[in-house]
Amino acid sequence: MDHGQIEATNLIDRYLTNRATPEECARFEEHFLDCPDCLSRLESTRGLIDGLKQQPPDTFQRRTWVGFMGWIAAAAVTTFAIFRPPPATPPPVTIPGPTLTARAGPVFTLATVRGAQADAPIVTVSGEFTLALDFEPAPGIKGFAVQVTSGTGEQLMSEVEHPLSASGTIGIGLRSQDLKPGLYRAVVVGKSVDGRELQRVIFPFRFQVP
Amino acid sequence: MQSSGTGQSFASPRRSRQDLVSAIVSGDRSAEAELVDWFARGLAIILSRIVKDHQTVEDLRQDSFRIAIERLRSGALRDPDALPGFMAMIARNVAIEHLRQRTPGALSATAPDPTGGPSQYHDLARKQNAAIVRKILNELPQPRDRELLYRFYIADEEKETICERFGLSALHFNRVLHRARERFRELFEKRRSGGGIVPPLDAPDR
Ligand SMILES: [Zn+2]
Repeated sequence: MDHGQIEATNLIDRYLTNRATPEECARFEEHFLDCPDCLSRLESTRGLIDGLKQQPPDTFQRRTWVGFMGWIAAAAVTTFAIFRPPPATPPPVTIPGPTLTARAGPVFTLATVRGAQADAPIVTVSGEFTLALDFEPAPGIKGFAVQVTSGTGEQLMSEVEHPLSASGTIGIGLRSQDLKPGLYRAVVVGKSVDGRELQRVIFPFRFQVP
Repeated sequence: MQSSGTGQSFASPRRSRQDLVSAIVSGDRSAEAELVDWFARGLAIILSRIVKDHQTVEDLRQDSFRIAIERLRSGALRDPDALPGFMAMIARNVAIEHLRQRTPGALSATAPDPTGGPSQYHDLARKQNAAIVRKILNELPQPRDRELLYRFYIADEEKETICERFGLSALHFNRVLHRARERFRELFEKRRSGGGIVPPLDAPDR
């Protein structure tokens, strides 16, 4: 394993974000345990990811929008051109937080294994169903935000305040008619009392109609 | 690739793998300490990718070293050149065993979460990470680059999807990531060389 190959295949990023294959992971671990350079890059990339996770949730979205508006304003002043706004993304659907005790339809339990898309569990269902997101809450978590997004980033469901469940399982209700066949991700963000993000768990799943 | 063994990250000078393994077999305690010094940071990376809690990572790292030293003393490692692979395998197995015990019948790897436990040192390090990243985000020339970092590292979107969405080449995508990583590393090292954990660069933590 050489550094050109590590760089060319984004191995450090893929390793830390669980996108590398088990074989790649094993070979890379053997390498970086004896490579100060890779070890240092792994630590700093992990710090970068950690720092990104700690930014307030609106950091990325709001600034993008402000940047876009600034660009529109500047362009309008200088050229008076007519701009077509970007295609509007449908507003996120907010579904009241259903619990496992008040579920409708079948329940699909998702484990927190990430990796290749092919590994995502397949949910085949029609009508209403519940996704049971099973994980261990980190210490200090007081509540969760839950989102379901499609593989292209469209938000299907967003729930900003989901109470902490004693079992560590979060149940979310969905309707199959709201989903197109394809890859989705349920993202659970654990928050502290003062709303800081302490934990983020991602559950990929593939939806298909029966 | 072999490292020289004299890099800043490891104690220097270091014995060869053969000498180190032989010394551990013969009961040399200083060799055991050298083993710990050599592999401590790397094992933390391996474990924290599988187990999210900082304190558990610490515990599992101790377990890994205990098992490794017991096995090395008993001569279980025939080929000393395979020492890094041997250590990595032990750490992986220890982490997997921990998860297996926690969730019987359902082996599940958790997403990496460098949050860890509530230790003050760890909290301060995290505040510094957040402060450095805030600075980097403010430096980025295009809002799009901020969103790109978010989508790749946090929202877990695939590189191809992001490139398609923003009309970027893979090369440009790599460049944005590379620049952010290197800038973080630069600020991170600057702070570390300034005396370990020091107060955050800019605004107080939110
Ligand atoms: Zn290396």
